[in-house]
Amino acid sequence: MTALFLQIVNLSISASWLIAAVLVLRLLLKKAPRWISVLLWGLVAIRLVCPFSIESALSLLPSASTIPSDILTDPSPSLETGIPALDRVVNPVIEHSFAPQPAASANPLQILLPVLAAVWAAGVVLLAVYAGVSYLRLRRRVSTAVRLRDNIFQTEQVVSPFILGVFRPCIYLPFSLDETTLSAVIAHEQAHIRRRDHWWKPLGFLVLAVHWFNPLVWLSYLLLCRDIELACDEKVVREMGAAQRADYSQALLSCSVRQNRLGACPLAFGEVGVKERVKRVLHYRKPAVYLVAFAVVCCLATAVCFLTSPRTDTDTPPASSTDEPASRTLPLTEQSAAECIAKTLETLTLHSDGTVSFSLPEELPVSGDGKTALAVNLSATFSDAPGSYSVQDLLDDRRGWNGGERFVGSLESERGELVGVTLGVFFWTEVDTDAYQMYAGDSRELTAPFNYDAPAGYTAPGLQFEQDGPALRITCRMRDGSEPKLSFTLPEGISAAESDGTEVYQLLLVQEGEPAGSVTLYPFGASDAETLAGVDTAASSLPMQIFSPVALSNHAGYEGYQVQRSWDSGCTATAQYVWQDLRASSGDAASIPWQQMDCVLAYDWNVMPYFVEILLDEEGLAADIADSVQLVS
Amino acid sequence: METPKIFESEYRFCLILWEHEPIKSGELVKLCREQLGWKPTTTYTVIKRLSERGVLKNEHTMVSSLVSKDAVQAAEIDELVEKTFEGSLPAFIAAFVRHQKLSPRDIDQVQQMIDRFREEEQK
Repeated sequence: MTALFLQIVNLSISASWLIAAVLVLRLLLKKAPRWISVLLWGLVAIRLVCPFSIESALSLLPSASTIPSDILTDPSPSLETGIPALDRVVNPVIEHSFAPQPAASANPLQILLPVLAAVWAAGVVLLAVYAGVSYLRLRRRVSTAVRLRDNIFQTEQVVSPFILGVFRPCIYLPFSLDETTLSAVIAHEQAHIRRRDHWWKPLGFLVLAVHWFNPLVWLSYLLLCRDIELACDEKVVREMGAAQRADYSQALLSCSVRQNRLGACPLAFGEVGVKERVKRVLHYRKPAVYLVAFAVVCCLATAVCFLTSPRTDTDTPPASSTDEPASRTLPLTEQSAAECIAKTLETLTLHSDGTVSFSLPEELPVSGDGKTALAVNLSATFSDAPGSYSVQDLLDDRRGWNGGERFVGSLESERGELVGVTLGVFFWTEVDTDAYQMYAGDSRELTAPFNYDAPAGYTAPGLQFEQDGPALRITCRMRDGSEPKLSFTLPEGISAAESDGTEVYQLLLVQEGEPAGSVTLYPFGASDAETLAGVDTAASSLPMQIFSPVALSNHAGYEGYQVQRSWDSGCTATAQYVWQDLRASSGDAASIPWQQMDCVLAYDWNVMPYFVEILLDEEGLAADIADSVQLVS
Repeated sequence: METPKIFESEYRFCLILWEHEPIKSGELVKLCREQLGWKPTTTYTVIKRLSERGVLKNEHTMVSSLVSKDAVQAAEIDELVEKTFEGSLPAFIAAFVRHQKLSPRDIDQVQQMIDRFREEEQK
């Protein structure tokens, strides 16, 4: 229904251009026979009804389809009126009012347009019902009409003569008409029938019913009715001599006078001033051939110019005639942002010629209000001596990206040996002047050993798990693309669940729906080979090279560290995780009580530069779990 | 008793009745079809209406009039109809001349136009 409505509106707009042209043409062709005007209105009717049109370079229509059919799903809805000046005025208003908000799921137009379509349909039905009811009432009214001759009837029920019936048209006249008037009236109505006006008028009304919202169409119908009457007069009078024309005019006059006497009736559709009609009748001259020919040519020209649509491939797209950026866009949502980030990060490639590159997806998500923007960081870390690092910033929060854009940067290899390259793709929302909040974002790091000239795919980092009875298998999707596996046995009744928090490498443990612990990966304190080589994996003291990110905190730590199993590059251990709940503090941090939980710790620097921390609510489970921990690359 | 008023078309019907009464309703229907162009349902409706108004009586399918030709007053009804006429015909009906209020001056002007034209042509 909405699609049909949109199509009708587009047809209406196209036809309006034609109506304007016809109005001008009518003025020019005042001297030409009126049937030309009726023909022009016929063209208008075709334009209003026919959804198909031939494309032609001669088309004067500004646009084939002013309301694009995809306007409901367009992130920045706009009209293509085909007139750049008009576009510039109208479209900013529309975009401002109707652009979907990034957080909203529906384009405001998706709510408004169906409502409008329903209103339109109601209007059409109303008009159709009015027509139907009027017709039936008239039929009933004239049922007792007495036949004069052939298809001409007389009845006291009518004041002005008219024709009723589409397939078997009958003329209905009032009773008390004198001889002259009677013959004039009959001649007029018969001319109507010969001209098939009893088809054109109802058809015109039907078209009007569909386009009832367009005032130009109402105007067209009014003028059509007038032109039909005048054309009919012309047809009747064409063959008449002067005396007959005088009689005909007299008939016109007496009919209107008669109505006058009987009471004022409201002005109805299509009535032409009697004065004008009498004037035209009295001064009627057969039109010169050249005039008719000229008028017909004008009609044909109008048909070509307005019944055809402009060629769409030579049309300049509205985007280039206004100031919008050339990049294609799609609406910004959490999902589209995440997809854009993932796609971009996937393309991070280190090249063997010492350059690094990445590409943005073809369509960038854009927020309707323009307050959220894409920013990219790209940096490379070099080491010229053990423990000494320098960072090259290739891109520092750069914005203003276009869809499909590819960035290539050269690495300053004189800084030393490349340790890692980090690409960060973020969407920042401006919440206040110069105050930003991260809408979405993630980063990807390439570290040694490097895969030159090959962009590895990107998967969102996190812990993916599979639980088979008590056996839990976790695949750790790391930022650098590696997928080490962690597995251990869970005690009875405990199962793993996805983390609800902000920790990327985390799973929750639940027992009967209640929290029972967690599994979290934390990065090593140091990840260079030399420092790690100094770690004694079997020692019962907590190696800070590994655990410092957690253990160095003043408010948390691991106590009672006890190694269960150890090997060259790692170990599994049990400990107590102790911490102060800082949220409960109201002042002196030292006075907050310490809490503790059993935990299992494990690491293997040959597998990944992260250690595993398994926290457990229930006591006494740690040892068994620690026994079953396996870390595999 | 006041003479019942009837419409002009009903008057035409009565003319047929007066000429052929008393007449079987079926035959009356046939006559109306021929002379007036009425559908049978129309004739029956009119018979019923007029009998309610006391213009005729329909006994055992025999129709006969209750009022005489002279007594009928047709003209008055004619006027009444115009006053109750609701207004413009629906726009989609072809018509000769539509309701148009002409001032007496307009009427005169137009009449003059016609008269002058006739004079010119006669010259």
